[in-house]
Amino acid sequence: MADLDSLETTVFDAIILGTGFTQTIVAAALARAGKTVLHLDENDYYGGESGAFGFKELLTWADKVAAEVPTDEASNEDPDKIEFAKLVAKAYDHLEIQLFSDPSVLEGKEQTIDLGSIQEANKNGSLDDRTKALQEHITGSYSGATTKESKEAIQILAGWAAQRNSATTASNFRSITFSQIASLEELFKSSRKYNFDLSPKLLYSRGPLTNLLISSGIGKYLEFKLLERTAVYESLTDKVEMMPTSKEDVFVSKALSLKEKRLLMKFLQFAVDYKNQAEVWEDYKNAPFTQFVQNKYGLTDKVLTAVVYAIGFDGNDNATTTEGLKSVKVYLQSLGRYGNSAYLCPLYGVGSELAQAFCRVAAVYGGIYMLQHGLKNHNVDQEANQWKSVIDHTGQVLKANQLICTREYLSRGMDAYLEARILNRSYVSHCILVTDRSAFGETTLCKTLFPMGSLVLNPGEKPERTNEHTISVLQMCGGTMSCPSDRFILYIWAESDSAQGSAKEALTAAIRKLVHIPGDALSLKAPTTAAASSVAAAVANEGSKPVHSLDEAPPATTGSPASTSDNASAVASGSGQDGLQPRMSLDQEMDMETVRQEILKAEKKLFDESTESSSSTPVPSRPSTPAPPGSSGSTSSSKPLSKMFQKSKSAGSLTTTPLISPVALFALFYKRTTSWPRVPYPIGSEKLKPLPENLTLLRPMDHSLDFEEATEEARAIFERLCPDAEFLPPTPEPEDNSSY
Amino acid sequence: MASRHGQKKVKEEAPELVKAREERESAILKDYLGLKEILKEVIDSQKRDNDALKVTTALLRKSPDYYTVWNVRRTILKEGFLDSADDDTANQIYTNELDFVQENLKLNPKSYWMWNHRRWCLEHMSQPRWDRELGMVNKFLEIDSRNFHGWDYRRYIIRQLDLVDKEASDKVLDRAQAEFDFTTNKIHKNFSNYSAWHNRSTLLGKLAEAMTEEEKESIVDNEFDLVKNAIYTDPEDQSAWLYDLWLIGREQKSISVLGASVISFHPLEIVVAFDQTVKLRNAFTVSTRLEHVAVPLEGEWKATGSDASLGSVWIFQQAPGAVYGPTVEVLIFTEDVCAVRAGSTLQSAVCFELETLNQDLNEISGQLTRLVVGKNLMFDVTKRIGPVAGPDGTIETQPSSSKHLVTSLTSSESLEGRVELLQREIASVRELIEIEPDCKWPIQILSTLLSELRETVSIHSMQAKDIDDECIELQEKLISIDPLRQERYEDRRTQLVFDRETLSIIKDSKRFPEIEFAPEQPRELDLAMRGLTHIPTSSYFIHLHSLNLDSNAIKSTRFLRNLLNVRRVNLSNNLIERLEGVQHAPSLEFLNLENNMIAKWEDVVAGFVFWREGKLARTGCSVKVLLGLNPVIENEGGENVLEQRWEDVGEVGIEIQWKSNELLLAEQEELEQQLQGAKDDGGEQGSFKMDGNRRVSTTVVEIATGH
Repeated sequence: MADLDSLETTVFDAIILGTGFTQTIVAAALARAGKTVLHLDENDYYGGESGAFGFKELLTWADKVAAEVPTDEASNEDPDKIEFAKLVAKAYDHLEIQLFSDPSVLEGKEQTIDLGSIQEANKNGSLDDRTKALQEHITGSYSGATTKESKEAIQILAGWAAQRNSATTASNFRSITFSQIASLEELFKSSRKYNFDLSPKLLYSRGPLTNLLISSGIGKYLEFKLLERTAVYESLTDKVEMMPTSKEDVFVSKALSLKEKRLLMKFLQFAVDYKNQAEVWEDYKNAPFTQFVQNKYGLTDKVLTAVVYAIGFDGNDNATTTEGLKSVKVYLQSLGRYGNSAYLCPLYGVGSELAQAFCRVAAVYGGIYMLQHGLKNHNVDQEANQWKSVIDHTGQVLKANQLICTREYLSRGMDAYLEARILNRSYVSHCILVTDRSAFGETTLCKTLFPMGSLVLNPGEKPERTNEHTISVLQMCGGTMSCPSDRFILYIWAESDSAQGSAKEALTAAIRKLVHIPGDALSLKAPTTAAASSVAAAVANEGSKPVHSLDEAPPATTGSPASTSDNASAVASGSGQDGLQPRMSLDQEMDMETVRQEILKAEKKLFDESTESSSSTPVPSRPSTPAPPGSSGSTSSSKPLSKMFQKSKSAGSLTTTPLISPVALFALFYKRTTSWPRVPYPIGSEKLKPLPENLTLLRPMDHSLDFEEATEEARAIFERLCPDAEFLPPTPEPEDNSSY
Repeated sequence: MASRHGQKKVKEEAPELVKAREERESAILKDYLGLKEILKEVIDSQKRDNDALKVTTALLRKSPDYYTVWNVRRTILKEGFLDSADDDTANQIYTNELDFVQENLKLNPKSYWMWNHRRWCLEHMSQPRWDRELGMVNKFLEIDSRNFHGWDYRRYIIRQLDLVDKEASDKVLDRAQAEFDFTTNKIHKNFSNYSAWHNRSTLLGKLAEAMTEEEKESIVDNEFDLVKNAIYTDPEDQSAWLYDLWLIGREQKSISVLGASVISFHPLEIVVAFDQTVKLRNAFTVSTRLEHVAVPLEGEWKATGSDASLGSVWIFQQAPGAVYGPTVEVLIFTEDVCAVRAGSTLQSAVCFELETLNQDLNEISGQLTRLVVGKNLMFDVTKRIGPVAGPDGTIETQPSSSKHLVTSLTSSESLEGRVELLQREIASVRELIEIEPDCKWPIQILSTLLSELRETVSIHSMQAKDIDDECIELQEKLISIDPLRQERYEDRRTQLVFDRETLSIIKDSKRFPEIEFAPEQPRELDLAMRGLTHIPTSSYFIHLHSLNLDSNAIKSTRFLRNLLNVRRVNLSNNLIERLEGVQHAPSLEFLNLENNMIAKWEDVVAGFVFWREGKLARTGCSVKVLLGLNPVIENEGGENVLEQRWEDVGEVGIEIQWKSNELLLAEQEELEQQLQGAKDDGGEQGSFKMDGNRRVSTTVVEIATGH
């Protein structure tokens, strides 16, 4: 660490405030180019608005954001004052925590503890008193408060119930149930196994960010999993369908007719090379993408439209043909680089991992890092319109030639100036939902889209309201190291044009289609134990996926007879929940040269296994497959072959096996503003005069699915500040590999 | 997409990098050459010890495709170690070898010799672990699912495992099923995989043996569904189309005997014509009835042309001194012939009967067609269709294969199943062509399907005609979208045009779908300007007197060998480079070869050398050959050269004209004018005329050509 005393005497090339994704790229690039960088964050974690938290930390974060209620500012206050916490709190709204009762957990020992009377009795007491009273009441009623975590859980619940006007809404906690306590206790126990993302996103395998991670060598700090599938909600059938989004998927898809397959592939083949075929799409350049796809390629069928949407949607509901083609192309280019998927998902939480990787490079090249560093004031030379320095909580004056920060680090005056220039407001509604099983059967890491206008948000009411923007859902599994292996996280988010309406209102309709929400009759039905076990048996026997998908490939049986039986038992024992895709690093591109080492290891393992299995039975025969329920007693039941064909047929068709609905355990809703002045400058070059000229303000993280725009923004900023330097050239191989 | 197939590797290197690389490489090379030297010593010294083994190890690490070293290694192992080793030690040695191969296979998974060495080890081990091998090859196919070495090795292992289980047929079947699943799996991951499709087809054949017809049908439906999905997903991928083609299957073409004729009674010469080139396994039986006793008639069967063992027209020549009676029989048994085209067979025996008593042509009944060949007579012989008595006197039963193919896996009693399938497939591929009009594969498949459909109808039906017309159009379309394969499509087109144009020669035989000569044979055929590249079935032409092939793209005249009866052939404006096959065209009187590619006199003369040796000497006919506008005139000059060359041929009544008819006409006109104008120059004109013809015996401008 640098000599802290010398901070004040140094004039840095740049001070960067906040360790959000974009800042960290800029920091890394500047440091790498030899600039002196001081990187500060008021938070005690990396990532800022793309931070990732364990369960307890998430609650702490929510408390902090919710507790800081913005008050009307006194006009006489110092315009240069930095009010980080306040601005952060201002950016978030409609926070709501939901902790669901799931009586089945306690097997009939469920009880409800009424809190209303206690709340009423203590309504004039202080918050602490109320909390205390509630805590005592709950502890007295709940016999299971034996572990540290259960005590903690009760304390937290009491705290929530005690709050009256909080954004976490006390209304949810008029009463609590035993199962809620148990559920919270469970979450506390595995708190550290969670890495909740505040702004979940994915990487295109061959998008600008991935390419940058590879070219700069930064990718070697990261591990990834491949997103398995993309699903789209279809309002007509009221079903979430897995989309065939690669050539292989299209091939095995049963949802598309032969002709549709051809039309779709024809369009995709064109899209890969669209730049060289301007004559095809030029007339549609600024027309809606969907119009081009339908008119020019005849992709009018509902399924086809959905597939193109699943492939081309990157957050923009009103994409023009130019934008749409660009994103389809990135998608297609990304396919196959690391496997049969276009998206990478970093492990251990998306945003913060990336941020830390870039910060690490910045630090290696001399960048100075201070987290949890309070800031007080900005010094601006008004005449020269130059930012001079920032004064931290210890009174140190930190000077630099350039200031790069996000909005929350602005001074009061600057923020007010910015605020006045925002014409169109935009927001993102978020939900972080913890469930007990995958909402997509064996597919554990996948995204789902609810196209705009496809969901009725207020069923039964008039006038009907549908979702104004696409609702994106990303399901993470234990394999991404963002939750325990027996839990799943659903990130649900959607763009929103207005501050009105809570995140919960905006997103609940989508959640209902995917999970059972206890107490919500409109959500999926609660799983019965019978259904659960029958499906589990079906999984074990058939090896097929009980997913409500049109598109599942026939069960992939491994060819080696030796491994087939192993596979079946693996599925039965639920190890499939760990995600089917192996973890990978970016250098594991799918080619012979580099995969070999990995295979070498796997092979060795396989040999060991086959040695074991063969010691008892040299050639284990395939387990006999019972005929599927649909097949009427075939006369040739003794012939295994006919069964095989029936099996592959039925697996391909629409399976009617009921999905065991996942049950919602915990939800956190919040709405974040992404409002930004619309300025006619290209990304990254904007200077919002009269904000100081040497201040570069970064956009808030938007609702898009990927980091590509943010990456481009960082590059543009770097190129403006260091026009002659290379943007993140490869880092030389570090001598010492154990420097973590 | 994960695989490297079909991807071009482009690498640009900075000069200093190139230099560094070259230095590195030369060091490696030096090292390698050194090792090679040592290996030589090892071989020479017959050393069979550890050091010798190490040399091979080092060399093979560097160059696994150096197969001699593998052989040396095996010799060292065997003689130096294994021969004296007990079982455990031997196993250990083999296991080490397997490890060594495996390690190297990872670096070079497509080396034949390594896979080979692996087999050697396993086959010599006392207890080879085939299941372990399956695991290994699984991994290799995971890395590259299109490595055909891996697939081949996999099939090998399965065979070995099946051998182990040869008593347990259900195990073998289970294994085939598992293998079938494996191909499904691989195809689902990436269907552009010839090996997987191929393996699938062989496995299906094996599995189908244990299936009922209904089960087969359901499987075939499934397979069509799978392959159609692949085709519609990527119609440019050949592997799926090939599987599709395999599934559809091809009706085995039978060999048809078109007819038989007598071309000479003294000595007796009988001609038998087939619809395709066949090989004789046994000479056809010729017998005659002498005093009510059938006795074999001695003689020899030869195909026309320079290679007498292969042809579509066969001639029997009575042995000198053999005697034949009033009836002669020619018997062709199914096993007597085999086709050059794989799979074609003669479906049933054929017998021809000849009444030699009525040699007087006028008394021969009307059912016999009379053909005049020079001074000889040519009769069609009554064709008798089996059953006929075999050589041992037993009656040959009709072939049992009355089942018709529906697909490669299924068959049916009637043709309907096949027709239905073909029509379904045709409709499907037409739909695809509508979306992808410029993709060559569906058009090719459509053409194949239509041709298969044509096999199910009479060749004279309207449907057959429509199919021919459409197929010809399809070939033309293919030529325009896939010019690289133009010649192939042109050849196919030639076949189709030929079939269409020769319908008057051929009729459906009673044993459908075979064919035979129509009772009334045309004497003339005009095939000018049909774009023909060759004559697919020249045996059709044995009765023709006159054939016009002007302005085609024919490259070879070899078909002339079967034109036994032809007098005039016009081949002007083609691409012929040399004259071949005229030796069996004994009646030839006129051959127009103007404007071809003949560049050397030798190429003309050689043809006639054979001709002279053939029938000509006997018939004493003379022939006129037009050679104008061939490069040979420019290259080697006219008369003088010919004079010299001609001595080789001898005086056999051949007249060569090397000025083109057009030119001669013009000259003659000019000459006439000059004769009328100035009588003094008469002598000059005479020699001028002599330039154009070797012997002006008949009129110069004689012939109906395509001009």
